Amino acid sequence: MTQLETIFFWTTVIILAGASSIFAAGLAFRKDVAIKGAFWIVACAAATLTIAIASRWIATGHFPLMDEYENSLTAAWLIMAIYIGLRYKIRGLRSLGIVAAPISLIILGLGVMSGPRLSPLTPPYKSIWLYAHMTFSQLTVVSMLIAFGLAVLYLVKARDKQANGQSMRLERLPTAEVLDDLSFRFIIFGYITATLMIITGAIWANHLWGNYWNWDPIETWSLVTWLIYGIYLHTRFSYGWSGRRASWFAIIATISVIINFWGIAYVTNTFHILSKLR
Amino acid sequence: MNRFKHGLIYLWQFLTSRLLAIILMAVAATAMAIANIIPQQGRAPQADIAQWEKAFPAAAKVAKAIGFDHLYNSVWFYAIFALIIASICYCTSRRIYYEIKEHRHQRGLWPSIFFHVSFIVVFIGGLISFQTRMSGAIIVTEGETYSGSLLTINSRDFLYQHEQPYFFDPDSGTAITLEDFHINRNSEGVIIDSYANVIVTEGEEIRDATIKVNKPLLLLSGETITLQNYGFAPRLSVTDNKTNTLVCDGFYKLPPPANTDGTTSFRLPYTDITIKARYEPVLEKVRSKIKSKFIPAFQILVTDGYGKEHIKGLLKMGETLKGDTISITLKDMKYWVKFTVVKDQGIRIVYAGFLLAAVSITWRLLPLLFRRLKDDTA
Repeated sequence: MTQLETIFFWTTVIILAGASSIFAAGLAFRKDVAIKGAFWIVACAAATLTIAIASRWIATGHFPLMDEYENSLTAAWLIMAIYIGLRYKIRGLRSLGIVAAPISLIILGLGVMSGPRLSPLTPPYKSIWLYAHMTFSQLTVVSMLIAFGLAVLYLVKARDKQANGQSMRLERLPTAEVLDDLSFRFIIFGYITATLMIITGAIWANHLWGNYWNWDPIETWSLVTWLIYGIYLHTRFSYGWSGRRASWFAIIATISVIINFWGIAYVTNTFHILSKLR
Repeated sequence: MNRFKHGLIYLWQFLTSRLLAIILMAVAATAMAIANIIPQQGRAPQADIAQWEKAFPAAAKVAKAIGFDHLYNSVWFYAIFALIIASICYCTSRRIYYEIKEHRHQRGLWPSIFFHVSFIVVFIGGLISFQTRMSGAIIVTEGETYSGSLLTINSRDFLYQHEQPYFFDPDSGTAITLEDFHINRNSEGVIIDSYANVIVTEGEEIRDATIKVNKPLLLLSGETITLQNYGFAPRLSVTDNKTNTLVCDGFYKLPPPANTDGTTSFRLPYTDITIKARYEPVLEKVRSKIKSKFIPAFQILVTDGYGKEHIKGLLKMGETLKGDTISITLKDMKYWVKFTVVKDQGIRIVYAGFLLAAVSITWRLLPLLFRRLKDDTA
């Protein structure tokens, strides 16, 4: 990490931790001012993370998408950007920062624990297909995690509503129907990008190794994840699942995303430890 | 009889239902998830398999009995995918039939059908690849030509590669000459670029080409050549200090892991001299920080048959290291390069399936993102 990057990275972490707490407090005590303020704090975090990403980009000479730490930077940035974008597109979504801020914080934490180091692009990385593959994988993981957060919020909101007829504590959140619909949409988007991620990854593998499918653990797990979300879409389209059942499905399916992007590389040998490629 | 008939109808309805397709998808996903934890025969290192069998003997026995230790080569696994494809074929044709017959004009039907058809296309391509794919390695040292005939292959090269050599079709007259291989490093020694300049002969056509990592070369005969690995072939000259006579002089193709800057050891032919070598290029002072020039050099340790050390140190290009009884000189260095050659007739069909899948999934699902929210008054 460069000095500038370190400063702005840790600033982002501190800001996000603060924003997460303020969001939680704002929702718990129904303080609109706190939620509004926390939104702007997340916007500040996005700005400081942008500077961290830019300084790393300048130092390494390539867009940060190539190892776990770099992926965490872009994933956290994407989540914040999507949140800010959504807030302006759809009314009543400011309080969704309760999902965006902590998820970004956790992702950054996982990334920095992987041991960031500055390295230039080695020959295997120099492929437009790899950039496409990594971009789609980032969009997939971000979409599925947001969908997970929304599904959790749906369950909380629905339960609260069921308990006393009106959701007092969580009234700042969008309605349960909106949360369910948004979660579904993020899964739709994530499914499109997951399909494109697998396709571009296969093309890249064919260019690099002369084989488009190697049954590599991460490669296989991405197919597993894709099949699981395929089942989710079938249950929604063909069997009309929504609300509670669909939310539980989305939450359980996220386990497969977490294993795919953070778990499997530590358990088995995989080609996907990109830093090992020469 | 009626009950039997009803049973058959119920069975047929189940076999042709989407529910079965979903169940099959879940079974395939579960099987792959389990197989990811179990070291796979022929894919995972033998040591990992032995460790797994030792740590979980009962589970290993069960996995072996039901084929989970070689899932990706087992018939039942491919049978599941074949059933999924059969289910897709039936469900898709039924949807098309009702669409045409009853003029339903369902929104999103055609992109959905195309998306499902794309699996069938990818599956057929994959099957063709599985049945007809040929692959192998060719190892060429700078200045040498590989023509793929049995006589020209030095079998010693392949002993440490664990990979079969690739034989070109003898009638095609294909040959690959490695003119030179280049590695560019940055000032910290990290490889930032590597490429091989080759001359490709295909019958009467001769052309120059460059093969890079990620940029394979496509031959007219349909083979794809990818750059896989490289290594060093230093020209070492050993002289006896007492008699001042040459003990040996020649290029020695160092086996991996010298190519990944690790230490490798080899014995000089017709002698009891063993050399341990690690490639350690020396940075030459240049102004540019982006591309720096490195002089080839090896960190070496020369021992005799009794294990006695004679020479130890950094041997740079053109320099000599003197020991008590022998001296060693690094006179020259060449690279050897390993290319992987693949002839895959299914790849184009798979790519066509990929294209169809990418277009149709976007066409089917993207419009759903831009609908009005169910309740946007929140």
